[in-house]
Amino acid sequence: MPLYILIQAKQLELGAELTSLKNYQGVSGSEDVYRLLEMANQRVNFLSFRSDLSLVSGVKEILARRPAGVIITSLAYHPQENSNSRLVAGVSLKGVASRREAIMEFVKNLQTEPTFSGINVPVSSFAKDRDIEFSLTFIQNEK
Amino acid sequence: MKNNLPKIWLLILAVAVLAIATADIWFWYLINGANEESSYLRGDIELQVKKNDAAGDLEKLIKDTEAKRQQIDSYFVGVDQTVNFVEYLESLARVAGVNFEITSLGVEQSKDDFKDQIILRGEAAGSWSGLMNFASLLENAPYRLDLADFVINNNEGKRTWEMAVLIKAFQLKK
Repeated sequence: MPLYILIQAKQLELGAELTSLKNYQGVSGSEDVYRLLEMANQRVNFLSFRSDLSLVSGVKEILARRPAGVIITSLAYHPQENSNSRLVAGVSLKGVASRREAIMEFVKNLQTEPTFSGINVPVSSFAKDRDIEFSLTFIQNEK
Repeated sequence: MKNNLPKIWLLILAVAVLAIATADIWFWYLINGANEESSYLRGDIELQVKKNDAAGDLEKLIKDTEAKRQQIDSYFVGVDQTVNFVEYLESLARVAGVNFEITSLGVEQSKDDFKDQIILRGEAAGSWSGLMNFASLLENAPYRLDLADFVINNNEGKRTWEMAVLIKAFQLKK
């Protein structure tokens, strides 16, 4: 009988300990903790996918390849996803060239930049032989 | 009478032995049950301690990463920070020395559950280098923003260039 009473007392003690432990969890709010971590994870995932396409570096590359006699009067830059779901930028340039050869040289120079592709000059740009208003388009790809 | 006394004592003794044996068995049964229950309680306590330890570790992780999580959030426009964001862009224009005017501003609801998209169209005017500086400042702004469309032109051959830009930024949901 004393043994039974002792065991009962111990049982009560264990029950109280369990209740107190359960109460501790209630205060900590582990569901909130998981929600916070989940939110942080979502944000990091979103921020980590950033393209290295850069308008300013693209413009620098264009200007570095511009030969004498070519003046740029307009530049349009339009990033978009291509068929492979990769981000590329469509670049459209307008300008004035002193002669046809200057346009050809400009195009050749642009072709040396590995991130530029699909350089296209409409044939109408070569109609005049001096002070030619030209336009060209190309794609800037990620490095 | 003399002959019955030992029998009565024997009967009493037998009843007493039976009672003691029954009580023993009953207490043994109770003790066994109580022991079993205590063992379950110990198991529950162990499990609860592990749960609490894990919750404690997570809470510590939350506290330790608070500054970093705030830094992550700073790449988004805060819930009520649209005006601050717009003023920040205007301040970049001033730094670059160009005139910048916002022509439209809207928020597009996004499907995901933590951000919406701010869509801002603006026009700027200034020198070529000023506008390029402005573009560079936008690209390197401490916000996650995309220059979704950008046009710069100088059709008149003047020193002042004109720029139109579509900026997409991301705002945390309420």
